[in-house]
Formats: sequence, structure tokens, C-alpha cells
Amino acid sequence: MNKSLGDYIVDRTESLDDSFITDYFIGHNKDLIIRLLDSEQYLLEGSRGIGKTMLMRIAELQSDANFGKSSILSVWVSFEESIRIERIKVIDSTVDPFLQWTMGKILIEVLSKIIDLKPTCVDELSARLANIFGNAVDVSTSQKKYQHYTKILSEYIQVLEKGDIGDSKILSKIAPSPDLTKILDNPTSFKKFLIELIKDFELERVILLFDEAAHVFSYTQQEKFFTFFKTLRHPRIACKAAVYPGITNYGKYFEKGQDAKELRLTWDFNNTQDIKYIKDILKKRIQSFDLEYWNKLTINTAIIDAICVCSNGNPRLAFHIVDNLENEKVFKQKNISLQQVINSVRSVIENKWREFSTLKNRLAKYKTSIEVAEDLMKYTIIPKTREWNNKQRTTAKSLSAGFYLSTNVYDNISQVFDVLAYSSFVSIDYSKKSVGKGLYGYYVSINPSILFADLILRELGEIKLVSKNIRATQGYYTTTTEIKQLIDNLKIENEYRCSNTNCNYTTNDETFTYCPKCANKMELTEPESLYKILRSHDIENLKFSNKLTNRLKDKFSNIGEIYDADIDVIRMKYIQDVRVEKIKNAAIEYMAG
Amino acid sequence: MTRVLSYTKATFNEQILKPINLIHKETLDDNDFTEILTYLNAFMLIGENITCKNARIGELWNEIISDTLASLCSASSGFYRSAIIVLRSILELGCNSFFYYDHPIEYQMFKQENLKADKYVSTLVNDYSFFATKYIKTFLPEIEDKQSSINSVSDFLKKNYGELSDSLHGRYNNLTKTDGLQLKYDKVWFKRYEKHFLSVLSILAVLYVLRFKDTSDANIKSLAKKSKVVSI
Repeated sequence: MNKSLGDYIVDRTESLDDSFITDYFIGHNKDLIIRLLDSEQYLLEGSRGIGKTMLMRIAELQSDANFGKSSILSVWVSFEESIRIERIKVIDSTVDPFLQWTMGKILIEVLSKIIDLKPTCVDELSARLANIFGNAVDVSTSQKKYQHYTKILSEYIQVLEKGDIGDSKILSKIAPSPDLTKILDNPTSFKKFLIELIKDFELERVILLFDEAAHVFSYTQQEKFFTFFKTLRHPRIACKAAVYPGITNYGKYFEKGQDAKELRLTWDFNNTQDIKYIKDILKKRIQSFDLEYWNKLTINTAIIDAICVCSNGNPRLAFHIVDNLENEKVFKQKNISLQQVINSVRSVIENKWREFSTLKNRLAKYKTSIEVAEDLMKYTIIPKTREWNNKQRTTAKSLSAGFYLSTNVYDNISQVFDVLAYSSFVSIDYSKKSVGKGLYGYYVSINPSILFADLILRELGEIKLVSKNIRATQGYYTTTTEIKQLIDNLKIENEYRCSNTNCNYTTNDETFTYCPKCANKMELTEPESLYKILRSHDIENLKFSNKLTNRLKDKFSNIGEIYDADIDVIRMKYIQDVRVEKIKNAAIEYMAG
Repeated sequence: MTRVLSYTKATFNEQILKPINLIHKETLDDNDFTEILTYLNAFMLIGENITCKNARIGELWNEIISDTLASLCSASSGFYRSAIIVLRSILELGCNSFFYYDHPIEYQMFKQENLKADKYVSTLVNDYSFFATKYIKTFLPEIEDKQSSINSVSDFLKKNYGELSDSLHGRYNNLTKTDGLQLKYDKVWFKRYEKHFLSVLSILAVLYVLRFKDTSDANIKSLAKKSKVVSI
């Protein structure tokens, strides 16, 4: 079978197996790996596709390889399936399905890892040595206990994720065992159990690497999760969570910096080491696919440099540019021109804007901000920065690749800029800088792909002329016309409604604790569950060929049904092993975002 | 009732056993025992398999396994040279077991007459061509395709035996206390010991795999591969 470039530039680390992760890892950010394996709590912050999962997975693999010496147990926990828990309505506050599932999920991953790391020969060797020394063979009772827990936990997780459970009351009826119920009862009992486990297995410490920690959780789940994260703090338990800049809701009990230090994945197109990092990633993967492809990309260094600069430190973006070149059959030509690369960058960026629009469906809470953010970038920031540079060029002054945003503006409409940063259209440097007139601001850099696709910069060499100096950069303040309008129009208010289902009173005034009509308690209206929104989406969103989509439509009415279906249920004529897996994965990825 | 130790017992406990316990702890903390224990288990399985084939030769393997544990305990207690000396004994007894398996009359005489134990590894190789290519060829005709070079197995045996003998006879560079008489955990010496340990176990696994054409156990196979003298 012919090799496919797609297999070598897969988007998500989740799609790579352990040996590929080891092979594809480039030794950049080694210092961050050390941090991920130390005893401190951290938030690993970086935009989508920048390599957070890769770092966490490689840290876990390195820790596994060293387990025999260090006795440090590192466990990577992905919460991709958390979205399923949203279907269970919490009506009894003593049992929270999300927390039950989160703790159960962590516990099962920890127990499975302990079992996996046990060398197969250990029991045999113990029996042989016990025979020699005249001891009884001791497969400890605690080990048996943990094996038993793993089995019943796995069943419980299955039921939580897929069972027909409408509300939290049912949970107590399906609880796995009194022992486990006690462990999963609350974060403190869970932590106590983890410490017991650390003692039983004589572990130096347990490191929990939480991936997808914020993005896949609903807004309220995020707050619960980070409160739980804080509770786990202990000298022998170290939690690390991968988060996106800005949009994560840590809640009122969690303090960034205090409860977990921040580790940022940063990247600068003017830093040669950062450019080399992306180049090395592409080199490894593309050379494994086809040496000729790599030669064509590098025969003129401007080509590979342009791709690396435009990636904005995001390997996924670089893969998309190369993929687009392949789709345009550029590799079949003798040479690749810089214009072809820019065209591909433009096409990738257009696609990213399309994806950004669909984000409204995923991040329901940010719907308005997403709409506003796209307009602000396309009709204000991009044209204004282009014009600014045009003027700057006439006077041979420095050029601009971003803008300063006054902290007042950010505080008022942070969501607008956070969604842009989440999607890598901009990167925000959260260190405050004086922007004159007694004001402070953040420097926001525009993704280099946009800089070149929208002709803010005209050629690669111009990046050397870019300056972040306040005099060489535009600023946006509360007094800037476009921003002032935005702040006025974008007032996001919560809606409160009466908890009495027979009463229809609603208000935006949060001071109402009780309903003025019927005196029942007021409650915050929860937006429709993201789980329900995504489930109901049409199968066409999975972007398969028309033929395949139509075949699937004969059997399934929406993405949710494919997401729930077992592999054998998806199987049908023309849809066998390879395609079945592809379809199932596409549904999982879609639900996870 | 509180247990009271005699002066001598207390001295032995406090001044010898406890410091050695500390060396054990440091050795354990600073090293990964996964490979050592995985191959120890494979080596013990070799002993059991040989005992199944010939219970009389199994007598020697009881000694070999006991020596292996003694060697490991010495090394993790900081007695590195003693541990290496025991490895020489393991190599010698191990080779004897394979030799006597194919020479039952000699073994019976050795036992019956309590003959001198003079079948040193060097003697076996020099006088009996023990595990030289032509020797192996008698039970494994395809050896020439598998060995890394002619006489690769017997050469490895001789070289290994020579190195271990240097420790036994106290060749200067093999002495461990020339800098002073202090017993403590020493990473460099433990690693040097570990290398010898795996080397001895590996070459004996090679003899087993070749002689009995048994590659059914993955760990035995992997142990035999470590010495890189034959392709398995």
C-alpha cells in the first residue's frame, strides 16, 4: 500500500502510539518536562496544537522508563469523555456525577498504570525466592484489593459514561461497592485513598498529568475541577493540568500562581531556536515519509523558513500548510515557489476562520464573543495594522506585527481576545507594560500566517524590521471608537430564573435571592449542555465524502448516535475495519473539539 | 519483656549490620533493579529446566542459584570485589554443568571419587574445545550461520573468565580499597558489578539456548542476546 503524508503529520498526539511519540519528539522544552515530573503543581498553558499533549505524553513515557529507579508513578489522564457526563442532571447535591466520574477516571488510570508497570516476572520470581528462603508466597492482600477495584471501577465508569442515567439520584443505586463509594464520596476521601496507595506501593510520589483539563469541561465543570485540583495538593501528589490561555474558568476557590504555578509554552518568530524547533519537527516527519518532499521544501531555505515562521510555533499549523501544498500538487513540480507557500498559508487561514465560526456551536457560552472577535480582527485590526505598516514603510521606520491593548479594554471584553488567543489568531503577553497617559496594556501579537496572508508584512525579510516598541505599534483603548462600541454592545449578563417550575419569573439582577412573585429560590440559568448541542449536530460536520455521509445517514441521525455506537454497530456494507475506526474517531474528536 | 542484646551482639548489630543496611538502602534508592531481577528470574528458570532434564546436574544448579543470590547480596552490601569473585564461581559451575551434562561418566566419577574440581573454564575451552564452533557443531550444525565470529562463544567465555579471575587473584586495578578502607555505597563499582553479573548470566543463557535449542521463554532469549555472540 502507498504511504500517505497524512499518517506522518497527524494533527493530534492522541492519535499517535507510544513508539511514534518517542520517535517524533524533538528535544525542545526539555526544561518543561523536568517541571512536569517534579513535586510542584503546574498549569501548562498554551494555545491549541502548540504541543501540550506531546509534552505530557513524553514526560509520562520518560517517567515510566525510569520507574524502576525513581518509584515515581506518572499518569496521563485525558478527560475527552467528560462531555458525556453533562447529560446527568444534578438534583442531589451530595452526589455529583462529574466529580464521581473525574475521581473514578483518575483512580482507574492510576491503578491500571500500577498494574501495567509491574514486570511480568515479579510474581514468578517472588514464588521462586519464597521457596528458597522458606517463606510463604506473598501476593499482598492490598494488591488483590487494588486489582478488584480496577475491575469494578471500570464497570462503573462505563455506566457513568454510557448508562441510561437521567439524574444524580440514580447514581447511589448503581454505586459499585461500599468501599469504593466511600473513596469517591468526596475529594478529601479520594486524596486519603491515594496517599494509602502511595504507601502500599512504596511510591516516591504520584504525578497526575491532566490533559484536556479545561477545554472539554463545561464552564461549571471547570470550576469544580480546579477546586478538586487544589484539594489534591500533597507532598506526595503532584498535579499538572494542560490549559488554554484565557478561557479557562478556575472558579473562586482556585488562585493561579498560588495553587498552581504557570508554565507557558511560548514561541517567538524572531528566535532562531524556536524556528529550528518547528523545522526539526517537520524534518523528522516529512523525511520519514519521503526524502524528496523534504528536499523540495529545503532547497530554497526561504520556503521552509516561511512555513516555520507562519506556524506561529504551532506544529499543527505547519502540518496544515504542508498538507495544503500536497493537496495543490505542489510536490509534483520541480520547485516550490514562495508565492505557492503564501497561497497555502492563506488557504489554511481561511479554513481556520471557518473553523472559528463553527466554534460558536462548541463554545456556546462564547457565541457572541466569537462573532464579535472575527469582525474585530477582519474589519478593524488587520486593515489598520496593514495601513499602519504602509505608512511606516514610507518613512523607513520599524514595522508592526501586533498591537497594544489597554488593560481596561481587556478587563471589559477579555472573552473577545481570549477566544482569538485560544484559536491562535493572536498571542497575548499578559505582562503589563506602560502605554503612556498613566495607562497599562498587554502586547498582542498577530499570528504570522495572518501577517503574510493579509499583507501586513509583504515579505519574509520584513520580520526583522518588526518592533514591539510602543511608538512603533498601534494601541487600542476604551476611547478607540471601535472598541468603545464593542464594550457598549457586548454586555454579557447572566439570567436568573425562579426555581419553581410553575413560575416563569426571570431577571438579570443577581441581587434577587428569592422570587418576588412566588418567593421560591432564584437560580442561575445554565446554558444548554454542550454535550446536547454537539450530539445533535448533523453527520455532515464530520466532513466525510458525500457517499460515506449518506451511508451513515441511513443508520444514524446525528453525531451523538455515532459517538455512542459500538464499533460493530457502525460496521456496514463498504464500511469495514479501517473506515469504522476512522468514523468512530472522527465522532470522538468532534465531541472533544 | 524488653529484649536486651549482649555487648557483642549489640556491637555486631550497630557497627556491622546497621551500616550495611544503610548501604542496601542507598543501593536500592539509586538503582533500577528491573533488569537484574528479570534476568535473575530467567536464570532461575534455566536452572529448573536443566534440573527437569537431568536431576543429577540439577545439584550443581542449586549451588549456582545460591551463589547468584549471595553475589547480589554482597554487591548490594558494598562488597563489590567479593560479589565479582562469586560471579567467577557461578561461571565455572555453570560451565561444569553443561560439560557434565554431556559427560555423565566423568560426572559420576567426579561425584563418586570426590575428584579435584579442576575443570576451570580455561581448561574446558583449551583442552576440550568447550563451546568452540566445532564443539557446538556436533549438536547444532547451523552454528556457523548464527555465531558472530568463529569461536565467538568460547572466546567470550575465556575473556569473561579471565576478567573475573583478575578480581579473584587481586590484580591491582581490580582491588577496591586502595584509596582507603571504607565501606560505603559506590555507584561506579555497583555499575561495574552489574555489567559483570549480566555478562555471566547472559553467556550461560547462550550455552543453554544453543545446547537445548530452547528459545521458548522470551526473557531467556533476551538474556542470551545481551552478549551478542550469536544471533538468536
